[in-house]
Amino acid sequence: MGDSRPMRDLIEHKRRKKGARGRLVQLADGEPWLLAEPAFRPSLAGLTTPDVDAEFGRFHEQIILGDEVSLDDVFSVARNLLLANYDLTNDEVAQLLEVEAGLEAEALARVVLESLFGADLRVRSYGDWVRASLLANGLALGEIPASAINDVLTILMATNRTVPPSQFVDACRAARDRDSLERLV
Amino acid sequence: MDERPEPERTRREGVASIPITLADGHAWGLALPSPRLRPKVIVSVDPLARPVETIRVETVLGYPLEIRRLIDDLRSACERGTADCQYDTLIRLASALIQRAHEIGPADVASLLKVGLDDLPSLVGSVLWIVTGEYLETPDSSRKNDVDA
Repeated sequence: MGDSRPMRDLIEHKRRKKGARGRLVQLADGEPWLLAEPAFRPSLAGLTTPDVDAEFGRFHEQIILGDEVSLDDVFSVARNLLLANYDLTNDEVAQLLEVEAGLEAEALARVVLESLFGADLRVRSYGDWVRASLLANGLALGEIPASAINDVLTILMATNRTVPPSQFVDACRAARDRDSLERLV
Repeated sequence: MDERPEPERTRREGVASIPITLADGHAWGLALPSPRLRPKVIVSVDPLARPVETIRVETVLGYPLEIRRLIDDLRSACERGTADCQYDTLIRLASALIQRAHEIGPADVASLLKVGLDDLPSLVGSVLWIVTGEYLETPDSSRKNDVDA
């Protein structure tokens, strides 16, 4: 019945590293695995951790130029993101990431691109706005008491260091559109 | 309304399969192995003699890991298992091969696989014919492959 005996202990929870986190993706064994979310931190060594700098740049070029993204790069990023969370050999990674050309390959590419660039149709919440405002102003490392967060955000808006929530948070944008419509009626 | 699934309406596009008659009397498909793409790590050295890994796409013919594990279970059951165990693993594998060829739920597959004793040898023969790779060596003109991949 064929030569290759799939590894019996290639089980998600047995290979998971401590502190693994990211998004759940169903791989070729039919089970969900955690694909790490890359973090951006510019340094002399590069931009992303795990290091997907080269693929990140190439994906951007391919998307902007309307070209198809390279499956070599999709596999390379998926492998790096998987190895950040799990102890796996190269052969095990290959078995897990194996796809059929067409829908399966496109699904993997979509997951990888969303890991790097974010989802196209993501709903942005008030929490996303607060987080993005603090990150954009280098305030990610300090701890801000809840009683002070509104003051900090008010100052950031007053000094044009963040956009108003009405331009960012989807619920605010929807409320603004509804109000404009009501005024018309 | 309870609607029975039909082979043609549920067939997954592009999946090569061989036909087999199941409990409803219709010819359903058992998925054949297909070309699969996987990452291959190529290690070379950069100008400073440091190892550099490059990922290239490699094409292999086979099933996804999920089905390969079921084939492995069947192999183990044939070597060491009881008749019940062999039957269970074979039915699990047949279900997976049918679901790979058709968009159909587990309950429907289970009902399709309730074949009588007369039809069981044909089901066993077809599954083994595929998973042993015999179909590659002994093309059987009576099994017309509906290969549309």
